[in-house]
Amino acid sequence: MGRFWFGVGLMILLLALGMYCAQAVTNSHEPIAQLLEQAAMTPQQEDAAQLLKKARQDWDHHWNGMAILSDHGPMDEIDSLFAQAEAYARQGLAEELSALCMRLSQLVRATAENHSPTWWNFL
Amino acid sequence: MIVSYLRTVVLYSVLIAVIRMMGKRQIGQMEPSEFVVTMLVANLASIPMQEEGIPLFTGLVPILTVLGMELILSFLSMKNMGVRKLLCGKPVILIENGNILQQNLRKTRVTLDELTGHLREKDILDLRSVQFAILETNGNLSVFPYPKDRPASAAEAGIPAKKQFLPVTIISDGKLMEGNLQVAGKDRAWVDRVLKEKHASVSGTWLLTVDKADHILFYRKE
Repeated sequence: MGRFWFGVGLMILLLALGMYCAQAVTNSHEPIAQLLEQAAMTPQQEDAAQLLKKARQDWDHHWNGMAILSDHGPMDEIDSLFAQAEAYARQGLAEELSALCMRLSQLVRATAENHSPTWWNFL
Repeated sequence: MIVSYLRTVVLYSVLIAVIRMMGKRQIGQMEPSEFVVTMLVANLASIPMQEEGIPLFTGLVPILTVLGMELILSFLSMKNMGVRKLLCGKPVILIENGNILQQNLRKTRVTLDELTGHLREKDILDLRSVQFAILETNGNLSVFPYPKDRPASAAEAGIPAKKQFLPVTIISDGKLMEGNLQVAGKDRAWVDRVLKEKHASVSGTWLLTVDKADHILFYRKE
């Protein structure tokens, strides 16, 4: 009987932990994706660079937690794209920066979406 | 994490269903759910072990989910006959009163060669000497020959049989098993007395066992 309740408890705990993690990933990634989207849309190059910097800080802040839960491959790709975007910002390449920020925004959003309990992820 | 949890729940259930559909002859020794757990856990553990880029969590979550489901299902199958039947199936009689039940052989997909092979393993050459042969839920074949074809037991032969007791290990490889002394109802003084008789020490003894009838088995360490 004890083992049965341990099993039930374990299943409930894992379900709750899974739902919490999915929500935490969405909550942490969505603001980053929005910042990057804004950076892509901003006509002022300096504003875009500031938004990119803020997005990078937030991304780095959540990096460890995310690395525990998901495949490191896509995260490494996002890291390298951030580095590339920062280089574009330093060189004043506004068009390239805008395109890259939009791409980054999509990637960050997709990374979070991979953890959400949607039917397409499930299947 | 939630995705791997949900996927594991579904995969575990599907695997049990598939193994059940495959039939008993695919299992051997294990119940279907045990087989699924063994198969799944080994594979799930190997993925994060080999791929360094994949977090340990992606392996741990499914393994713990399988553990949780196994604990729940094993309890339910213990308490409920219907669940047990669903998960493990039920034994199938293949030979009844010397007659091979061909329909049951077809149903379990056991060939005649396999059946006779199993019987030969149990030293049975003549099918007519088998009263019952039952394919158990774990894939093993239990065979019961007619009483006249069975070797007589001591009781049937009227031979008085000695009582048997479980030997308890007191010294194993030079180490005294303090806990087992109590189980055997002995104390340290008894060990010293026995060792003195054998001209041995604890560290010089490889094995010392004793049973309830005080039968001692002693091996010196070489």
